[in-house]
Amino acid sequence: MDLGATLAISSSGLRAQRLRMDVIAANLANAQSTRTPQGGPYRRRDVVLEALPEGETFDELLGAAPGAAVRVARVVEDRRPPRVVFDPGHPDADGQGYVAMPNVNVMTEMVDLMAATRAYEANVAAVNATKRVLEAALEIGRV
Amino acid sequence: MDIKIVGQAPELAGVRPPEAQPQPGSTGQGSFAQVLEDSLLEVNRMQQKADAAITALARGEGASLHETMIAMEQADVSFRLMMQVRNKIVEAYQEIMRMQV
Amino acid sequence: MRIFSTVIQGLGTAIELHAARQRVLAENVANAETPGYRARDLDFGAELANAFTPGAVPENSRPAVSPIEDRTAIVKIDRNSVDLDTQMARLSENALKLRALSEILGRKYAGLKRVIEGGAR
Repeated sequence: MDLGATLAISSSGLRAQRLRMDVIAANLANAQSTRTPQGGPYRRRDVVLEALPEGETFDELLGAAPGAAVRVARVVEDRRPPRVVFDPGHPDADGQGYVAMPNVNVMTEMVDLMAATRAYEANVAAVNATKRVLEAALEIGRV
Repeated sequence: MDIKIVGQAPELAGVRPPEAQPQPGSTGQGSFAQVLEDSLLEVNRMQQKADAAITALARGEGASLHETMIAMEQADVSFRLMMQVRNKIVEAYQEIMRMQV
Repeated sequence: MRIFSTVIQGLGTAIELHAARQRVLAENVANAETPGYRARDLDFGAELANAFTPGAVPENSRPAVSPIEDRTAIVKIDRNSVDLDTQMARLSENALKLRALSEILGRKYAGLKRVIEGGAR
């Protein structure tokens, strides 16, 4: 067990969860955005997490098991159609008075946010546990 | 009076160390000199093993920390054991020297 | 008479290198929000390897490594490339390594003292 490899794995988990939280925050912030530069309402985004083979993260990640670290492979757009709401007074209402709202479900995003937070905290706990183990190894032979 | 090394005294000529590695702690088997020499070799070997582990760890060559610590402890224990054997030999020698002829 | 072996001197050098890296990493964390600041790191693999090779480095020479920009860091919108998670992980690992090396060096010195005083009665 290399000193730094385990910590590098946990830190990749921290980064991935942090990015996931960024994406969820963007979804929540844009839950009402009916305009985007590409035209049309905001489309919900999601992250795809990928287990990395060894040797693809930090230089220090030597000798780790294959598929150990994690990475955000892609940020993808949710392809489901937007929610159509009847609101004739809305500036972006079409001829019949319907507005295409983002396909963001606030409840779902909040649950995802809680999950990402818990995952982040779990990785922090893993880092702390690794540190304790290494400090315990330093105690070998001390009377 | 002709003082010989304990191991070479004629009274002990019939005593042979066992074929396996002589245990430094056991009494009445093998000569003290042989035991001490083996101890020294063992201590040296353990020291070099510990040094190699430390070097690998410091260079970041993937050595594991607890194995390095254990190697250091083994070197230390074998050294202390050798010191005890050496001290006992010196004590015995001095005891013999004090004997009235 | 050479009392202090290559390993002991090498450990001293290694501790110095890791301490220097700790400073660079702490600087990164301090500048986590500074626009335009690029994360830096120390690359001392070669110096470490030489420190433990007998004869590779003249005795009592100080190691000299300069911080270089961390090219693997992603640059954000404000031209800052410090990712807190990465830096904290490196700080943790470096601090642990430093502690381990110090502990080992301490034990080597204790062993030396024991050798010197061991026979005295």
